[in-house]
Amino acid sequence: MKRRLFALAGALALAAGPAAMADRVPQVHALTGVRIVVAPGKVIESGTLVVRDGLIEAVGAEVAVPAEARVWKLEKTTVYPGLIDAYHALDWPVADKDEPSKAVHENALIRPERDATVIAWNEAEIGKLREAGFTTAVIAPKKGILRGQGVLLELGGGDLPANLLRRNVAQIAAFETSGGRGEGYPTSTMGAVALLRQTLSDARWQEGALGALAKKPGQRRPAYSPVLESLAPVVAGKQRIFMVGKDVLDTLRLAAMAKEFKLDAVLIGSGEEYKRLDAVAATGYPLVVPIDFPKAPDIGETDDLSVDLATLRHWDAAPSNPKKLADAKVKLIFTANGLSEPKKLHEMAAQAIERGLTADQVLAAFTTEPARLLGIEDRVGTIEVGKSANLIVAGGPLFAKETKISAVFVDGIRFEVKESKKATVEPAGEWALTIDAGGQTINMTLKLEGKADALKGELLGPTGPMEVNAETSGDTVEVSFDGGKLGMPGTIKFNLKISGNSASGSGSSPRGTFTIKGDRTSGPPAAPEVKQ
Amino acid sequence: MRSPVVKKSLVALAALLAAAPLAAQTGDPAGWRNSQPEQPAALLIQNATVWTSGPQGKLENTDVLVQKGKIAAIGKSLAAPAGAVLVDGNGMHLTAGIIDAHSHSAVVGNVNEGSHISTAEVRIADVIDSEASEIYQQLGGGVTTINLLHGSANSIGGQNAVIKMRWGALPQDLLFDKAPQGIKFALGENPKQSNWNVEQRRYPQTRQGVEQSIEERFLAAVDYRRQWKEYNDAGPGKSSRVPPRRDYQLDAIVEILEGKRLVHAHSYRADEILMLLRVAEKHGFKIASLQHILEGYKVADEIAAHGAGASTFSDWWAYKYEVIDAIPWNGAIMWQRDVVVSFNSDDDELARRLNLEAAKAVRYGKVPEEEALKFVTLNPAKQLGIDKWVGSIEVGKDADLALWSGHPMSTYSRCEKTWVDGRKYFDRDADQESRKKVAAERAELIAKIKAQAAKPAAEQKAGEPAKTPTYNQSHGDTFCHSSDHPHSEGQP
Repeated sequence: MKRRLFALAGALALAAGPAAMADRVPQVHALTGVRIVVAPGKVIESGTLVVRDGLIEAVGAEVAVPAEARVWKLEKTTVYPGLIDAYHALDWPVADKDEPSKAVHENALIRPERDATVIAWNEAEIGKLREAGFTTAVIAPKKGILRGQGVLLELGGGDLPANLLRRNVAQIAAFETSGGRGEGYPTSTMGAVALLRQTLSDARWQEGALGALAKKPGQRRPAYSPVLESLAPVVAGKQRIFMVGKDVLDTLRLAAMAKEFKLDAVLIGSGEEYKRLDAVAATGYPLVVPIDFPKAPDIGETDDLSVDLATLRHWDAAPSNPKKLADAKVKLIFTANGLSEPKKLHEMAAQAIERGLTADQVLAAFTTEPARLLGIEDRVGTIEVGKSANLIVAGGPLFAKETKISAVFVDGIRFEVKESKKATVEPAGEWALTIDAGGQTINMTLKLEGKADALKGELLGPTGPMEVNAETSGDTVEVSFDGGKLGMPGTIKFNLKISGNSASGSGSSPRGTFTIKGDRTSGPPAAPEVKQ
Repeated sequence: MRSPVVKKSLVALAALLAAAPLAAQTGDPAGWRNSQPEQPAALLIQNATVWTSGPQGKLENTDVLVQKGKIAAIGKSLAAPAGAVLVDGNGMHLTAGIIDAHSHSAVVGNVNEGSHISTAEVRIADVIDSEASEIYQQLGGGVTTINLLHGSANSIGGQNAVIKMRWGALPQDLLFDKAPQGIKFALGENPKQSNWNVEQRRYPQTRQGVEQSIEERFLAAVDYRRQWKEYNDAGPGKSSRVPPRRDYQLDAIVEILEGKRLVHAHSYRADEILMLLRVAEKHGFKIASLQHILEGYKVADEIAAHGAGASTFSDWWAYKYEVIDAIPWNGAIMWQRDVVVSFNSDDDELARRLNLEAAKAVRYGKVPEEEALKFVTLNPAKQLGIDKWVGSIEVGKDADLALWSGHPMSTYSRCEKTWVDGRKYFDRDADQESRKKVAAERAELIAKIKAQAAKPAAEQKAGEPAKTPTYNQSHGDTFCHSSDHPHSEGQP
């Protein structure tokens, strides 16, 4: 079995020959006849956009198409600059071997030394963001009081090194508690506040103490903590700290802590800033707000008072939050963090627009404003010559419920966005498949379990089965997995169009393309009989 | 069909309304929806029965003049300054605003940081919930100042916060800024975890252990203070000397030793009360208030000699073993022995009718009415160190006032208006109007949801289900009661 897996890797790698190059060539694209939203408020109704080697080479109404360019005739579509998510939190998998298992601070909620690069390359999450139109994001660790270092990424293909813009872009903090009685400090919000205060103070103290020791080694040596050392740039005001609030009072509480320690803070809001608008504006800190509005509370047949007034009011007021912030002269920066699916941002944005925000304001809050916040405005955020070719190709206005994104470019590389359709087949079962990569063939087994809309998949491999993502769309199942386990960092994916018990399709690895076909050798396990 | 002209004028009207500044609003059940009431340059409450809780005693047919939030004059037929707001107090009774020396209302999250035996570093001031509707409900009972205490789960709890009931203001603006800093201590069953249902218990398990846990922290604080003194006295070599690590917990305990932080100690039994007084005297400071102190009547002379206040329940008993000797005459007996006595609520709901709790000091022990009223006005102010500004109706004090429809300790009376700093935060008539507005708003929102549901599914907006905000929870010291001691109003 082990041999077979290596052979698979070899076959996929071999495909890195001429076939693989075809995947990336040409490096020059020309998008013609397209409406171009260059920047918020700046539109070319019909123009041409030339991309070369990842950068925007030319854009305008009258631009010559280079002879070597692959031409995309995009009449009736609009190109937007790729969106930037200034804060996207991901869970730290508890059992991940890359996660340092031993807490080095006495409190498990204090983990500032952690680095989100370890968790950032989660292809499933990155793919969802990309398909929603995001091409750049800050990935942040999700849990704790001091949570660790966020990382700034492009959301392209390949792996983390190919997409890394900046490590240690910000420390992440929030007032989180341990749980309940007997579960350790802190069990209360005020305890979380006290712990953050003490830790920031300790980090500042350690800098001073070590400095004094360096000046005069002949004295009692203070204890050294690498955890506190990782906070030194934060307490010196030289590194950003993103402070994540649960509600508006929490946000104000975090701002007060930032002020107490003179931190370079960015507030990650809650969406209920409208409640204490003046106070939020008066903090003076940049604010990143979620564009996540609740759906109507379930009031049943009659108003039975089971839904409280506060919930009704928030449902009604939440979509107006962005507009109110804008009117209060707060610079709007949006995040899709918190949405069940990033792609919901479009319909949420449509709601905010319905409440008086302009589409340009929404676009700015997802492009130029986060770019400025992150100091990358010379690279991304608008469609201008010399900037990274991060683009969205959309069928119409981007911030509308019905809009379809057909493709996203990241660093000049095109990603097609497939429309997912309702499953018409049940792919569960064991499939004997044959890969054909440029003449070399290899056999493998794919095992799929569950209903079409909730498939679990695995490739049978040497170190036990290897988990794969499998999603059904229409009559096709799409399979993807991390090539890192085959020594080929990046995503390997293929699709199988299913017809009865046979299937065929094509796929790609980071180094090339291949075709694939095979048969179902055993069906899904029969449902257990119900005894009468 | 509506004519275009009418439609146009309607649009103009709508635009006009939208442009008009929002009318000042008070009485809404959500904190953030209330704007701060105006502070009139002059406010004259005329012809009321005034319970001053001060040296002037009770005054019939008397006027109280308030200027810029302070009491400016008390007397008969005072001249109204030009433009003064006049309030007819005829047939009504005016008292100082009620003060609750033991509250857990308006706190975000758990009121106990019970994970460690000492959590002197945690601060209620960090987690004041300005949105908690208890603030407004208690204003409706004439309450103007409350002492937000940490819970009783550990022997040295967190730092308390004294707030004024400025409904609608931000957390930091609720703080009674002149109030001395304080801290919660707790003795007995709660810190020794007699009634905790957890497997992993922490030290201590006995009353002796509670004493030692407090003693140990004071010894640590004394040493911590010494380290800082040595460092600060180091002179020119200081800059190259490793400084002591700042410890927020010990900072607070040093402040107790230096008399800069008042101790409010949850305590029940006579033996542990005497223990704490001895520990305090040994370290050279005074306990500001003993809270609950249901056996205080047994050691009233010792409490008076020490100079501690006693903030007790009027008539709670039989909710756990350590209160087995509680009697409703406790307050009256301690008062007779010259202890400064207050009655507290320890409860979001009871706080709304502390005036009736004061009445129980008359019922049990025949405390004179004016003195009984001080149990919920001047005496808690003394215990919190704020009696220079509040607690009685005296010239120069803050205009924190409650106007009652009748005798303030009668069950037939109700609070009609409540002022804090001369601003009217509660008015029964305005409250009735506000309720109507809220009901109409609710109906409108429900209609909106129904209208949306009636639209074809394709037009509906998807999203996450509406979240219930995290506040408006009931607050309480779960280690103290909630689950285990019903408020008994029965006869002994």
